[in-house]
Amino acid sequence: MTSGKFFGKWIREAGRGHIAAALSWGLLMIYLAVTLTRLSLDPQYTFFGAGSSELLWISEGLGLALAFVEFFYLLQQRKQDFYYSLPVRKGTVFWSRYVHGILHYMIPLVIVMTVCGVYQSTVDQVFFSEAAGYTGKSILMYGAVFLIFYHAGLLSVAVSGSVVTAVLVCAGILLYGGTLSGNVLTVFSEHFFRTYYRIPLLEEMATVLDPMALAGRLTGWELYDQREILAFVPDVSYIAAAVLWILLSLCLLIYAQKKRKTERTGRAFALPAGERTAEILLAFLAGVWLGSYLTDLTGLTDSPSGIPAGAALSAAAGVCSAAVVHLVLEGTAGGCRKQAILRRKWQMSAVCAAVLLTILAFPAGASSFDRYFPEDETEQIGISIDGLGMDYEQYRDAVYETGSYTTDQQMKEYILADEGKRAVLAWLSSVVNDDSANVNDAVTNDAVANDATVNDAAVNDDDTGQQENGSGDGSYTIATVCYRLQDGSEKYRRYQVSREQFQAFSSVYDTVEYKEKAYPAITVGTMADARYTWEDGVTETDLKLTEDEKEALALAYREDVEAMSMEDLTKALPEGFVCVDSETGAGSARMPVYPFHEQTCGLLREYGVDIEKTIKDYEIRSVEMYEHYGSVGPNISGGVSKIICDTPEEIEKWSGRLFPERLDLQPLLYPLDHSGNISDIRAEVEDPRTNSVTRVDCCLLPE
Amino acid sequence: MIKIRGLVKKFETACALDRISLDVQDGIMFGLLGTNGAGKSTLLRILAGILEPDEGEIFIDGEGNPADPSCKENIFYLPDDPYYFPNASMDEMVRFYSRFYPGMDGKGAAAMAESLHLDMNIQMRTFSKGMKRQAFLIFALCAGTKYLLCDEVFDGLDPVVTEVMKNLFRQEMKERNFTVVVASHKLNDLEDLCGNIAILHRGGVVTAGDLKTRGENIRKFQFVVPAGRDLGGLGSCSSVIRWQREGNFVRLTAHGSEKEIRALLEQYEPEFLEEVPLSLEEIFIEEMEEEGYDIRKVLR
Repeated sequence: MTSGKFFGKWIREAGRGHIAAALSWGLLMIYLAVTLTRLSLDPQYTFFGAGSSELLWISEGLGLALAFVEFFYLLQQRKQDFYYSLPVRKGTVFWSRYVHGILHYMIPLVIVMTVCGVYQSTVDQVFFSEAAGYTGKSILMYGAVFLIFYHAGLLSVAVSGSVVTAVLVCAGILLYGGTLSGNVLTVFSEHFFRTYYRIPLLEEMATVLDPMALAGRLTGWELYDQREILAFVPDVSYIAAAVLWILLSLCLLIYAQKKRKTERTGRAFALPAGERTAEILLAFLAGVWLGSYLTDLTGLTDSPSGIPAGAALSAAAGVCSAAVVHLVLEGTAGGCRKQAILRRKWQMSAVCAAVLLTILAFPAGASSFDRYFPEDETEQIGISIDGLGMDYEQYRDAVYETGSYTTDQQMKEYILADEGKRAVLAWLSSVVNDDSANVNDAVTNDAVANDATVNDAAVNDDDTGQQENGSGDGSYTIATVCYRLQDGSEKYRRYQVSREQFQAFSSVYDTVEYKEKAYPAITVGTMADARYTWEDGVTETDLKLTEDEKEALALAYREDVEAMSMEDLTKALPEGFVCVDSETGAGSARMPVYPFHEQTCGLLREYGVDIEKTIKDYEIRSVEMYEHYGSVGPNISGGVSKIICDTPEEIEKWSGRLFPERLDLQPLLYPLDHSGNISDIRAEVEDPRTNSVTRVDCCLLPE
Repeated sequence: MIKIRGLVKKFETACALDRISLDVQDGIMFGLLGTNGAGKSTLLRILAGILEPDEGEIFIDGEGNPADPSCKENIFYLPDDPYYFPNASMDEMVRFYSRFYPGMDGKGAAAMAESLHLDMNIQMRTFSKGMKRQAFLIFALCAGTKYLLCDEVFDGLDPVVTEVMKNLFRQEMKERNFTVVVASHKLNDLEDLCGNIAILHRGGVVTAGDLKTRGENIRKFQFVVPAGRDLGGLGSCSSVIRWQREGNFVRLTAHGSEKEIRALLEQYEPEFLEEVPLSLEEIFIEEMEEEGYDIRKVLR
């Protein structure tokens, strides 16, 4: 008989897989019912395809479940003997089940997507024009996600001889790449590279090697806006990674199907090569993981002098761990016989060597990583300096969280390509050179560290105080840089900046290009239809300006900003903001106004704004202060106490020191008093125009 | 005809089959006898195309690949504990098998089931162990294949059904040159059906062939001698395989014709002398011991 005829017959036999059918059709039909109900209630924020995390989970789960259900016979000798004794090729049994599993997912998926697409088209006009494209894209996306997980599950079953091994192998396939890049390589980079901020390649690896993360990226699960979701197309690199996952696992599957030994069913692995691969990968991961864990735990690499000891400890522990895991696995597979345990000595040696080389590669490469300075290849540069161009809250975020939203956002906003870029590169050149010198002479810089205490008030919180002196090498703040190279790649570095170097940053700050990024309002120009308001940190006042007055104000502000220098910011706090909001959606801008912006201040006075008015000029009803205290005695933990000052004497005492938190814009250049245990201060201020009470978050001016 | 030449199968370090060579003629029931782990099931699984040999060749009707579907169309494999679909009835299983075995005789299966009082429409999982065995023997006989590979053929059947089944097997072998290879560790199962038997021990063939024919030259006698009669001369007689005395009662097994052995025993003036028929098991024991094996170790 021809194999085609057998295949057809076997497809019918595979149709007996009622569990697979019930699972797949059942889950997707429940999804259809729930989604249709949600679409009828809220079509704008319900996404039946791309953007649906529920469908993502269903596709991932079904991929794994169908793989195990369809191919469970590979783990049962009795059933396997039955199938293999029939006049049909083993390959026919295998591939007909493979097709059967795919059909049981794809057919209901297409039905569900089509029904949802047609239904949403009838209730959502915005969706109507995108219906076909969105539905088609969704089928492809979730089909790819299903195939990734289906192949992963199938490969696990094909190489394994028992259920337990299959489950463990499956978990390994799903978690290995993400663990290696996210928990090992990234940890080593953080601890051995002093200028590490982020390595995009590692982040990409963590995504493409982790099927769950990759599936999320493929289906746009992080998107919430309908316009974005309808226009969503996965990044080409993620599509390529998905195709690679599917094809590579398919190739391995073909190999495993041909080479698996029927008689090994019931043992840990049915494929001898699978056993060896699992051993190698597991022993290697155990070695490097323990190494990275100890590096993180001991903190030896936090100081430059501790790096050799940290590297030696990690390498020794890693090698021992790899060897132990190898021996344990060999012992488990070989029934604890001495001969079996020691049968693959060369494999163990190779894995230990790989662990050793991997761990030592980081300290060995640290110098070239830290000295990296692509002056000539940089096309654009993004820069963020903790505490510059950010308010106090943002500063805290940047200090507390490595890779914080604030830092990332600022690096995106402060992209310099021209005069600013040249100034930044010139400034960085000295920082990088000084920084390299610091590695060898950390002690010398203690003097700078002591000097930095001049600005203790900048971040006087107990924790953020670490920022200044924690490194022990006298850094005043941190500069994070994104080099955008000519080849399109991005390299990130994080430099410790001394007080002198920070002051030298004025050469960058005073360039027009940088100021355009720091004060984007100067590039907006005049918005004739916009609403102008004055905000002094307590109340907002509408400015009734003519078009000419608006134009004059914009021009004056631009000239003031261009004329100011970074040093001016150390002498004065902002008076308030001029906020510009276009009513036609043309944009918005916020102009912080300082006393040295003479032309702007003069114009505002002309327009009737009392720019000198501060919070103390308002009638303050009370001041609430939240005081944090630590342990006050044995078995008594710390807490928060609320202090309310509402007597005229108390208000008089505090009002002179209150300053609206919204105007605390230069935590490094003009630091306010955040010392002591008082964390939050709120003033209840009377607004005489509306006869209402406003609660204003405040901080304290230095005494 | 099945020809096996130099077959080797190793499981890790254990050698399950060690250079086995056998010929199974058409139209006979061939028995594979041996203890647990002797390699009987492994040999059957290789013949059924489930396992692949490490070395050696198998020719089934001249074709050299038992895993090939065209070759497997002629073979029905019935393991010790066969699999059936969880909710399937005999009727469904017959329909399933008929997709793969063109010669499957559904009506014949129904008739056999009726004669054995098995309901074709009841789920097989409700059957007792013996009933399941009967059902699978029916499938095996009705599949229309030329060869049946059977592990523990009548295991779990009561004596009456065993006899019915044996008759059905005889009938099939006679009518359509049906060849059955049966693995068992119980000699009694094979005694009255098997033409040829091979004894496997630790992966190797101890002996093989038509043992009934080979047993034609071995005879067993029992006799009673007068008290005090010396029988020491029997031990030195080359035709005597073994003898055992309990008081005046003596049992003896020896090579030769009835006349020759009677003449030998008449020298001791027995008061009573008669020939006793040899069972297949006894023939085996004699054969094995002649070849230097301790049969208690081989068949235990």
